[in-house]
Amino acid sequence: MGLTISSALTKLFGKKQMRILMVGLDAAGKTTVLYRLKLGEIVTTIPTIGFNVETVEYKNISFTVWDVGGQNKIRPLWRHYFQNTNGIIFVVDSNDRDRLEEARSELHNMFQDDELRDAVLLVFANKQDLPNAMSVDEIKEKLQFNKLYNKWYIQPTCATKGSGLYEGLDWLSNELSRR
Amino acid sequence: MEIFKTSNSERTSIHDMLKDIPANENKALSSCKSSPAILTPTTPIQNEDATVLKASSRIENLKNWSISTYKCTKQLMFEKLGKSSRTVDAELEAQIEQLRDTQRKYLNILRLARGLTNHFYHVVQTQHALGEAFSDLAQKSPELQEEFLYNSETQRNLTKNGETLLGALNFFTSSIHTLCNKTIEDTLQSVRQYEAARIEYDAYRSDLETLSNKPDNAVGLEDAQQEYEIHRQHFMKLRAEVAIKMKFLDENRIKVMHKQLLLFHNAVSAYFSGNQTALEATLKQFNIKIKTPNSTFPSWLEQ
Repeated sequence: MGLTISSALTKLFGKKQMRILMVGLDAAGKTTVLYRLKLGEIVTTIPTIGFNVETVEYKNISFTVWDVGGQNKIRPLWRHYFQNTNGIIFVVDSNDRDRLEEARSELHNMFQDDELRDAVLLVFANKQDLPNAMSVDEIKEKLQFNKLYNKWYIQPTCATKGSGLYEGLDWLSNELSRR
Repeated sequence: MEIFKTSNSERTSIHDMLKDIPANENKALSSCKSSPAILTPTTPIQNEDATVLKASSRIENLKNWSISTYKCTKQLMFEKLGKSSRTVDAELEAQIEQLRDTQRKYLNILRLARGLTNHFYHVVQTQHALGEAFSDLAQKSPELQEEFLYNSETQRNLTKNGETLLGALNFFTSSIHTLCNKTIEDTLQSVRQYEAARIEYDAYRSDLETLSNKPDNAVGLEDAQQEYEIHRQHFMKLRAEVAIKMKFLDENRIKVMHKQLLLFHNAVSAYFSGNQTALEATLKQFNIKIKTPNSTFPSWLEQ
């Protein structure tokens, strides 16, 4: 009874918690996205060895964003952070045509894991400001979302200008509140 | 299967009982041995064969769960009484204990820093009010105008610097909060799973030992061996995961604390030595934006 009341109270007044795991190939811009969301500024980043965690408050939802390094060696470690994850943010460098296939295989590989069966997928097609960037439709096709069981959404972004990031979070918060 | 065949009445009763449990079709059966609530989905029954299958798999699950719970409880009791041996990884366990200790100590720092922030917030508020009062009086009392004026000026400056320091303090506490309650907590959750797997593993291990010590070729030895192997692998997997996550966490903890302690020190020492330029430079260095009281909450129109 007490539990019911307290959970109802949390639902009404408390902040919702959402655990987000942000992954993608190296140099896709994950850490830049993270600190743009946290501080609203561009910080100079170095390749992430290990991970960064920040809490970002947006629309009465408290997002705990885990940004795990994307280098080849670190990728196998992603799965240790799958547990309890509500959403995956997969960051793609829209300018990196050569490695889009590699990104596709990492993405599909990841969603094989049973821990992610209920997680939603938000793809940031980052670096849209670059002249040679692939369009969202092209990335959508090449990443083969139709083979995924999970709910997904793709958002064009430019982390250095901060555009598109909050639209992505909007989608995530809508998905969460629907549950 | 056997249970079902021998007692028809039991099937219906347990089946009915389990009907209330919400179905979760996504849950894979193989991955859950520890919970009776996660069973095959309750869909309308089409034919007798399906019912048989579903009911029996339910009973099987319930049976497995009760056996494993019983075993683990027994193991835990015996360990406490010193009657049963336990697997000990001294090095890892020392690291885990140290991590828990670190979390406790950091939480204490967080509590104190929040206390300080809170008090300081009230100090700044009071300085602001005092500054207003002084400037009010400066206008109304020409005989002491100058004295009131420089006091109000000083209080205003203090308020401004105080708000800057508050920005730094809030950034510090929010980062330590994330570290303690999200980052460290995540690894501790893996630790708890590892510890549960350890008990399970030990339970099946001592089971196997008692069975193989029996003189006559005991029945179920093969099954016990198999169960033992499954739980051993599960335990080993979680142990490796905890070891990796602890290493990763340690790097993150050092990185975060290094940055936050530098910020805390620079901001506090600049403020209390009255060095306004250094204070502002510190906040700039850490990309902290100060929220003015009016902009803390966006208007409901913006949301």
